[in-house]
Amino acid sequence: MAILRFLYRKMWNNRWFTLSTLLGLTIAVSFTMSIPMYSDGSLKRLVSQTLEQQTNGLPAASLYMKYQASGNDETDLEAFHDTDEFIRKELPSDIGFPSDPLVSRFSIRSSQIKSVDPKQSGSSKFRQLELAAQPRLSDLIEITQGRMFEDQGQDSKVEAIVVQDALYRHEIKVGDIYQYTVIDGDGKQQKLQVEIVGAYKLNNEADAAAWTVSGQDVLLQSLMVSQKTLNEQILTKLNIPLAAADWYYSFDLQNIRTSDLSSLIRTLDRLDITLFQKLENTHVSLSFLNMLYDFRAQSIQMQAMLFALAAPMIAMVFYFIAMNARQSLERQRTDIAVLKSRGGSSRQVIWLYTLEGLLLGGCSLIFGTAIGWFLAKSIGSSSGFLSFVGRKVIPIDFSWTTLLYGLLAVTMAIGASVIPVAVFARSSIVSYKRNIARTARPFWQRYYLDLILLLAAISGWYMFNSNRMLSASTGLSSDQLQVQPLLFFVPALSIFALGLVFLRLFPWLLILFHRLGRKFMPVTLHLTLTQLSRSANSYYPIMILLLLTVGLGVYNSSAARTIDMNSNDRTLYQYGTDVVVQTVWEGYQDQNDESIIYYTEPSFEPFRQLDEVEAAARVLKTSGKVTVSGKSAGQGQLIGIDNIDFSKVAWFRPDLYPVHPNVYLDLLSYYEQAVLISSPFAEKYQLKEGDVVTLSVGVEQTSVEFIVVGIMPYWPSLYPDNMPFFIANLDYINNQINKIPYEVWLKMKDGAKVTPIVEKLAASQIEVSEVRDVRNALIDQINHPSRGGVFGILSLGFIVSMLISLIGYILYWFFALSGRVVQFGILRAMGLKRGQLTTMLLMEQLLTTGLSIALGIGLGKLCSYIFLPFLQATGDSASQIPPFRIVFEAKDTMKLYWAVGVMMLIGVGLLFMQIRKLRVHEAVKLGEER
Amino acid sequence: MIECEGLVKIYKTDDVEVVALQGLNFTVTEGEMMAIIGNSGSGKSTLLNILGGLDRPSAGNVRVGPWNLLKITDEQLVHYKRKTVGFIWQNNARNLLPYLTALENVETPMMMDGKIDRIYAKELLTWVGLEHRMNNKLQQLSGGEQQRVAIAISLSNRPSLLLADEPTGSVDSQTSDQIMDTFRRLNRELGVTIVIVTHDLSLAQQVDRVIAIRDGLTSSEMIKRNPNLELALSGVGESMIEEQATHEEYAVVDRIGRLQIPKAYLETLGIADKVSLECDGTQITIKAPS
Repeated sequence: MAILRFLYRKMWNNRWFTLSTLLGLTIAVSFTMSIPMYSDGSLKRLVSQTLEQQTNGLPAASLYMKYQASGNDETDLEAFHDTDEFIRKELPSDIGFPSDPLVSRFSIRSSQIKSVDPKQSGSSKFRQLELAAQPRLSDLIEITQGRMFEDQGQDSKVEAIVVQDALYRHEIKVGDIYQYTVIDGDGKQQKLQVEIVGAYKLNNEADAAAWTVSGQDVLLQSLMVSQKTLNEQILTKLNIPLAAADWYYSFDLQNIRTSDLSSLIRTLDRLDITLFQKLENTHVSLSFLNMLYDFRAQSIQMQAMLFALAAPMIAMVFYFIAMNARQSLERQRTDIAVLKSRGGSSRQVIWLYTLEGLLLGGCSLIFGTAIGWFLAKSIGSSSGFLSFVGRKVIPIDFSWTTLLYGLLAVTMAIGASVIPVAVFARSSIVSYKRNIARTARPFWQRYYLDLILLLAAISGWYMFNSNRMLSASTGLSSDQLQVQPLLFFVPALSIFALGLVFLRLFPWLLILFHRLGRKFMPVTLHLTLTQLSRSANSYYPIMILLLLTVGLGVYNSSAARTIDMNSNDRTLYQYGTDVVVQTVWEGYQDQNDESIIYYTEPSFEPFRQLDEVEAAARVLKTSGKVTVSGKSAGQGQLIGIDNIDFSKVAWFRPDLYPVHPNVYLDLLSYYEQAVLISSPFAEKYQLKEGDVVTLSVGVEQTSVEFIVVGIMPYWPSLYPDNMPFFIANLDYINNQINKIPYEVWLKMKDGAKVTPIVEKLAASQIEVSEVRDVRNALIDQINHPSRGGVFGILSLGFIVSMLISLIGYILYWFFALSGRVVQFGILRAMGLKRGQLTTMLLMEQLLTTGLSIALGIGLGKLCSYIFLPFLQATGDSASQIPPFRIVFEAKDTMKLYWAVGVMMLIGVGLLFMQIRKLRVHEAVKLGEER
Repeated sequence: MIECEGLVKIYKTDDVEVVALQGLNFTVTEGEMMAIIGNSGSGKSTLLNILGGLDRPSAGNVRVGPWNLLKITDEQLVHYKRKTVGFIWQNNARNLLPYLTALENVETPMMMDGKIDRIYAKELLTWVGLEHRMNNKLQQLSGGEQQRVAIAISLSNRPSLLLADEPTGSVDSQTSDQIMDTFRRLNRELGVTIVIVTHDLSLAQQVDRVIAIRDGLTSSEMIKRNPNLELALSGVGESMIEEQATHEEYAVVDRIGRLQIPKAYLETLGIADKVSLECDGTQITIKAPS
């Protein structure tokens, strides 16, 4: 108890450190936990989507087991009952998900039944039926004629019912008695008397598929008897072998979690073997194992990707915790030494700090879970970098695995603070004082870790570079938006390594600077430089933290923007405009040639008059044979447009063209026959403005001549690498050839819906055959779980890193300053004015914080330019048009500058406060340690 | 209580080697109150650190009660610190935890040992005259009061040996007297062996026996002529002559018969590296070689 009170005192005394440690821990824990939470939630979403897709036919999570006797073997009844019992009772609990009630069916070998009524015995009707029993039958059927079977018949006489349809199919009447011949276990022929006592129909035709194990056809062939009759009389007493048994389960996997997958897969994998061991010839004939493998692969992939994206950020959070712990410990070293010299054993000291860690860890787990939940929601609701939308339901799931991740984070964090304690605890106050006198270079400098890391980063770059070559040459395409995690890890490493290398040079730079300006430097600058170059080591932690956070922030924001922008660009380019409408044209066939159809153009005016539409344009798309100076030049895509209309609707990316796209469109109006051609084609055939090309288009292959007026690399919705394009005036084309249906491109007003357009068009007698809305495509992209995850993680990472560097910065300076109070006191006592002291400290800040922030921004940008181009290798190489561009959003940079500005301001504010509070006598009285 | 023979302590850094103690000999008997004086750098603090179990000797023989401090294990050292020795530093930051109250500070060493005896802790604080300050935080106490809390802390584990490193170094003379009084009472009433390290000769005069250390070796020993005069002394401020009068200074002869001659004597006689010795049966005469 005393130790707890002591701990409380200690924590309270160091409350800012305690609080910030708690904060750091909470951030680390919640960030770590949010990822499995989100991916679990996404898995659920995935599962429910998959389940929805498979509602036709059998449910997705169906498990169907079958026993099929081979030959006329005697049935091992004991084994059979054992198996049945296992499937009924153990299996559902092994699988552990709710299921619909078991459907099972047992049957004996079918027989050609003959009426015992001599009047009918002569009937040539061939009836092959089988005796079967199905537990729970009475729940599912309704007797329409006669009555339900009775359990107990006489020795070789059984009562059976048939499905209503079977009465007509087999010409059976209720009340008939048939002879059923079957061979028993001993090979003797047994004759059963089967009396049809009733007919039934299914309660619910719809779930027939679910409850009749082998389909509805089987029902027609079945003489259903009671299970008791089958078991006791037929199987046991008459020793007639069982021919087949079916068991069917349908599970409800709505609540599946990532952590359930492995054990479920193991159970299902094992099931086949278990069943066969229990009863020979029993198999799983349908299971959802593959679906589970799919789920597992997807969830592992997503989780790995998200973790890889978050890894640098999580590492940074840990670094923050470690830095914080170290600083806090440095402050408490004297205390540790005092405890030691008063007879505290190392174990006690370590236990004290472990206890503190456990307390804080426990708290952070509680808070972290709640915040992690919130973070996971935020990840799910991100629609792009730093933009979050209120999405209706983002399933988040909490499982023990999630908690395990949290625990792992806490353990690592506690380790980060307790391990140094273990080292400190060895030293008594004497050896501690002795150590203070020595300054060792940080271990990463001693072992050249910075250079090693830099080498690793360079080899990472080299790998990406050669990979890109590979995928470019083979044209390998990968899944869209499957971001390579390494592309976030290696840049983080590069920033870190470059930062360390810079820090290695930092003292030398300071010394150099000092040497150069020693003669005319004011005393404050002189002091600053001396202080910095003598104790550069103590500034490293905060400089590394700032460098890394700012650098990563810049890189991540730019990466996210780039991915976002380019995938939007791709889609926008693919569609060309907001909405593309294809209308139905009336046409009639040529009397002589069936392939020629004369179309009548529907009125175009209604499109322009739609309220929702800002602008509309006619876009004709057809292909034709190209002839250049009499020689064939393959196929080409001919586009007919009205240039003014088109300029209003089309989506052009300005940086794709040397001049504004409207300039090209304007060229079309110079000549009626003007055409814009794609640059690869122009290059291939050495075409220049003013040259003539001929295209044979339409069903009749009418030759149309065009004059080249412009050469363009790209055109919305067209891929010149697949087929060269030719942009011409629509009216000219229509004059030359029979009209061909064109697309209508619509530029929509903000937020306008498509459905009313279709309705209004229908009212104006225009029938729409196809509508493609780019906005839907964009929304689909945004809603993709892994894309949401990527942006969510990156956005959160950005926010978290900003937060951490802010807190880290403030704490660092606050405590670094309070540790130097004696120094300030002496300086003041020596006659340094308050203003000069402030200037000195401001200088110091500028040279450390300012420098590392500037460097962070620089390194972040550098890494963006170096590494982001590799992102395009991950997209589909075929649709890598328009070309990739690297984006730095001014908004993000502004946010960054804001955060940094606030940081500096708070830092300066703290400085002023500290200096105002500073009383020389107090500082000097406090003495060396405090 | 303390037996020290040929005690050697060497500090090593990468490029410097400092021999702080080079074969120190001295003994302290149980229940004695004595002082060790010496100039800065003479090795007295090193000696005290070793005696307090905060540092380990490099060679030689140190025994404190039943403990051999050269061969002691880390675990025994913890035990030693808990049961045998109490420590008072000159710098209060090393004595006290500033965020605890005076009482809690006294209880801390008890906590390390596992049992808190609050009554005894209060008794100790009363003993050093701080009964009205028990629940004050340390920042609220004056330097002298802090020093007295430190004494209470050092006594909290009922030590049989009390080591004090410049206990009056940062307090005024009145407080210094108070502290010395406390030490004397401790010594008399509880029978605690007390070793005070100081460079202040006037302080040293207030104890029965003073050992002077020079360059890591015991150089001389001063023993009070008339112990009964002790009470008549009224604090510090007396002249050196008077101090000389209270104590008789002796040179120390070590186990193998070596003798350290004060540098001043050597210089006066111009002795370099050799002397001639003469013994006439009652005294030994040291002469410069002729």
